[in-house]
Amino acid sequence: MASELDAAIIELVIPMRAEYVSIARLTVSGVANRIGFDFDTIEDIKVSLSEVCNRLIGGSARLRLEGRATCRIVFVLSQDNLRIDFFVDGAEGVEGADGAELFSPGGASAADDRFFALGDRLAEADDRLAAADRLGPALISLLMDEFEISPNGRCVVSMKKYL
Amino acid sequence: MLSSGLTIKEQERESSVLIEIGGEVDIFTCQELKDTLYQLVERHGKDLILDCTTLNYIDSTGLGVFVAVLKKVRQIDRQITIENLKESILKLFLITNLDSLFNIRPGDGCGGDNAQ
Repeated sequence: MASELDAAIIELVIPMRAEYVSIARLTVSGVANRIGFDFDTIEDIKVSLSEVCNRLIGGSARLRLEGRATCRIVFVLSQDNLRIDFFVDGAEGVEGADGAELFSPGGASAADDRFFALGDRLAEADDRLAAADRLGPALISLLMDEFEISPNGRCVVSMKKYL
Repeated sequence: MLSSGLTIKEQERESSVLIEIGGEVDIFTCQELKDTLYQLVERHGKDLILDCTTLNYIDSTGLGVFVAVLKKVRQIDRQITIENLKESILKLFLITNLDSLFNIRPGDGCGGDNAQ
């Protein structure tokens, strides 16, 4: 079993813009393949990574941070798992730019969204567009083994997938 | 300008419009897909058949577009059929219960009525 001390670390920094999320997906494909995940699991990880990026880009646009903030994605490769940490750089001192609020305005928790997804509320909801907006965190909860929204600090989201 | 990675081809049929969606539907390309599908609904007023044979990736932004377009076609009493989803994408429909909203079929190349 590998510990974090012997884990390899790869970092990727992308602008907070929609056109760069595909580059993050390409990167995580290679990283996950290196660990030995199968094709379907790599697809799950790609979706989860994109969902985080989508939310951070949306949050940055709301706070008008696009021009100054960047998304730093840290891949921690271990023998039996991949951990992905997301940091927002360049937003220090901006009110409301803490991790939880950037990722999930209003403070919806990962647990809430898992419950939300497993219920039939999406299919039954009158306002399905609003419901669709909550799909992202729900998907991450369902596709990754661990998923944590940081209540403070610069690490906004951390998620992990085991082999 | 970065390439969008999304391809959309349409083919009008008697009572439907077949739309081949290829590449990636994500936060960058979802608006293009939404605009195109809205235009097709308005122009033709027919059922939509979305052939996803070459669709390689979709996330919640794309799923949101599908739901929005479904609302629009239902306003004119039409429906959406989604064909040939890759396993990894079908999984997203299943775990979010979106499969209950759409007519999803594996697609056998016949364009027929034999839903799964």
